Amino acid sequence: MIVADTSLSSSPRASGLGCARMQRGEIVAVGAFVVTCAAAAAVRKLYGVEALRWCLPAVVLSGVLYLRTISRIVSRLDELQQRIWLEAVGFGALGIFLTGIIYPMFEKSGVLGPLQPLGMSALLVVFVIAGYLQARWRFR
Amino acid sequence: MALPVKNRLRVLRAERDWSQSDLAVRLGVSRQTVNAVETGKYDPSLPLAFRIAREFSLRIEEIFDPEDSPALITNHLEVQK
Repeated sequence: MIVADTSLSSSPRASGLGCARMQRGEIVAVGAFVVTCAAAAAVRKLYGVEALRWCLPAVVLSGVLYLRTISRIVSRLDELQQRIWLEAVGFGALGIFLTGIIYPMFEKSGVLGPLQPLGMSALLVVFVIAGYLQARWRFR
Repeated sequence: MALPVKNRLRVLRAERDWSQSDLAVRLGVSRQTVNAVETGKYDPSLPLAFRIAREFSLRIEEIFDPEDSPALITNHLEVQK
C-alpha cells in the first residue's frame, strides 16, 4: 500500500489561491487589446473603411496577445475553476450554434431584423456568463 | 459507470481546526473547490487527491471511500476485466 509521505507536506502558500490573479503584463495585454479595438473603431468612423488597413496589424497582434493572456490565466486556475469555465464556454458555443439555427427563422418571418456582428458578440457573452453562473451554482 | 464517492474531509479538517480557506491555501486551490469536494459535488483529480492525502498525512483510501463499497468495487473491477 502506498503511504502518504509526510515529509512532503506543503506549507501554506502565499499565492496558492485557485482564482488566478492577473499580473501586470496581462492587464497591459488586455488593456492594449481594448484600446486597439476602440482606436480601430474610431479610425473607421473618422477616416472610413480604407484607413482601417493601417490599423489591422495592430488589432491582430493585440488580439493574439489577448488570447495568449487568457490561455495563461486559464492554465493557472485550479481544476474546478477550469471545469466551470470549460462548461461556460461550451454553453456559449452551444447557445451561438442554436441561435444560428433559430434566428434565421425569426428573421424570415420578419419578427427580427438581421443579426449584427456586435449583437452576435453580445449574445456570446450573455451565453458564456449564463453558463458560468449555472456551473458555479451547481458546484457551490 | 461513475462510483459515488464520499469523503472525510470535513471531519479531518475540523480535527485540525482548519477552515476551508486554510485548507484551500495549503492545497493551492480555491475555497470553492474545497467546499465542492467536501460536499461531494465534485470528485477531485488524482493529483489533487494525493495532495489532500499528503496534507493530512493519510492514505487516499482513508479519506475517500466509494459508497456501498467493497462489493461495488469488486464488481466494477470484474467488469473492467
